[in-house]
Amino acid sequence: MENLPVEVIGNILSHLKAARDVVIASATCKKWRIACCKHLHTISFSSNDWSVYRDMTTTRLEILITQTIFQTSGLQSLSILMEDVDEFSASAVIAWLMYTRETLRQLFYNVKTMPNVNILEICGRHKLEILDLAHNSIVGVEPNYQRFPCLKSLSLSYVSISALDLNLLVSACPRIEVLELVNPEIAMSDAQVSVELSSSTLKSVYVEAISLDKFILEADGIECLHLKDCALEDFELIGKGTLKNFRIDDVSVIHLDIGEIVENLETVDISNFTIIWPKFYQMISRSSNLKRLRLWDVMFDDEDEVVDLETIATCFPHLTHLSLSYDVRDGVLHYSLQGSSYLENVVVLELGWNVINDLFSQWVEGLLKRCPILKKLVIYGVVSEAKSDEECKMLANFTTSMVELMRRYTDVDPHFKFE
Amino acid sequence: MAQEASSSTSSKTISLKTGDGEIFEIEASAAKQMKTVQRLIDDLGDDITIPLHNVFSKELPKIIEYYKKDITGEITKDFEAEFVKDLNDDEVKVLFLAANYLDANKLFEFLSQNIADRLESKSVEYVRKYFGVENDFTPEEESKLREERAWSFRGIKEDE
Repeated sequence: MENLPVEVIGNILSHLKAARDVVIASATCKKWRIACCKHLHTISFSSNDWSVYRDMTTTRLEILITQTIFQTSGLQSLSILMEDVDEFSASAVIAWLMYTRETLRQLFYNVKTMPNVNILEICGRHKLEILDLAHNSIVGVEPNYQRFPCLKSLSLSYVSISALDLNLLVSACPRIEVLELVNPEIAMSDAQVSVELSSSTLKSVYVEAISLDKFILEADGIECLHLKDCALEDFELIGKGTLKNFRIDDVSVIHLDIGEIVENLETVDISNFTIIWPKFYQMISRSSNLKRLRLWDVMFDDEDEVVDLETIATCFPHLTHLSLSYDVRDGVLHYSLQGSSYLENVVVLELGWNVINDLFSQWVEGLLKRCPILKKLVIYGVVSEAKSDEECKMLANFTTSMVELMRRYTDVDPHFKFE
Repeated sequence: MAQEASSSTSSKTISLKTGDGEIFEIEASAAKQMKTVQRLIDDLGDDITIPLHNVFSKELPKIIEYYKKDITGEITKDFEAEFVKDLNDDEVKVLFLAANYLDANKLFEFLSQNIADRLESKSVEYVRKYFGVENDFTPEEESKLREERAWSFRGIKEDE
């Protein structure tokens, strides 16, 4: 091991990544110091890796980051993620970015800069593949001379950017595949707050905590779309029906349009949402290749029109995973279990309650009957802190029913998760 | 053992002979992942037992196990965790050096990460001992280094 080439040591140090460990390792001997200086390609200054960073003043941190970065050459991946630092001085940040400009492929940076630095302008653009920015402002994107020819993954969290600049930025990335927007502050020029993004290479889009009137996403190659905690009036996906994975969680949207062609959908996961069943059904009824369907903590706009097993069985013959959690009441139970078609391919069934009632075990039984090759059943239950007598009684009844049920369905592996 | 003259590489097996004289079989497609082995095959032909002077019968089976999973695309995080779970520091080092010698990139990167994980939060002395390196700094150089890097010496884990 003592005769390892210096490049191999540099590679191990790059896997080690955390700046403090790398610096310690570089003090072992001359060869290791050279490895750190000439063959280190990845380094990370992260308050999650080492809590001692939190005890240092901001100035001290700036100095040690500068010292450490300036001793490397050819750095490809730089992470500066400091949770407790309010802001780094612009001159320090500019120094770090300018020093690594020629070789940088990945940048992860989450500290506000004072005064604000236009990171897009200063950081290395030509080789950059991953850009992960948080708590910064992006002011002015010049697509003519600011292009990111290699950028595959762009993540912006708590970043303030105008709708126009966001659109220009995505267009300036001809190879972008992954886009993540978390709690962006979208500055708007007119009254309507709307965002329009267009990319033929985008494969995966994740949007969290955004509030807009209109969001139009034009992506001919998109495969995964995940919206979380969003308030939208109008969301439109324009594409060629390539979507495979569609998830919405705690989203309020009035008009939702994911396109006419939904044949490639494999996973649909809807949670914390009010479903207008006929509309929803119309949206996904042609997804005959659907493998996973999850409707969790959903409410139905019209209590007479709820999801029913017959529809699920006939529309989605290839379904393997079914997860359902909604308020099971008298009329709902009867309606949802009507029909007799089997869910021929379902192997995993997840059922949940928010408030337990006596109908739940009947519902479980009704579903078990319709899944002939079921292997695994997971019951998710919410148990309130102040357990009333009635609730305790219902839990006891439920347990009795389940034991009896599982005696009959010996091929099924039951799991219980209570919170 | 009769060698089959098959036209598809995937069903062909290559014989490898370790430094301590044991012979192991490996699929040709797995052998392709070890550039050193592939170079030897290109030079010597694939019907001959390929000699690997620097790899021994203790570690080669584990390497073959890894690449068996790799060619079927079954390498998962769970498999990798299980693979290194019971390996002590010396065993990892031996595998690492073998992967380096065989120019088996995927295994090499995976083991580099595992070695790096074992060095996390450790002291300078620990790293020196692990790699068998001698401190070749002069006392003046060393004290200067430690002064510059004083910030990094806080809170070192006790050496085991």
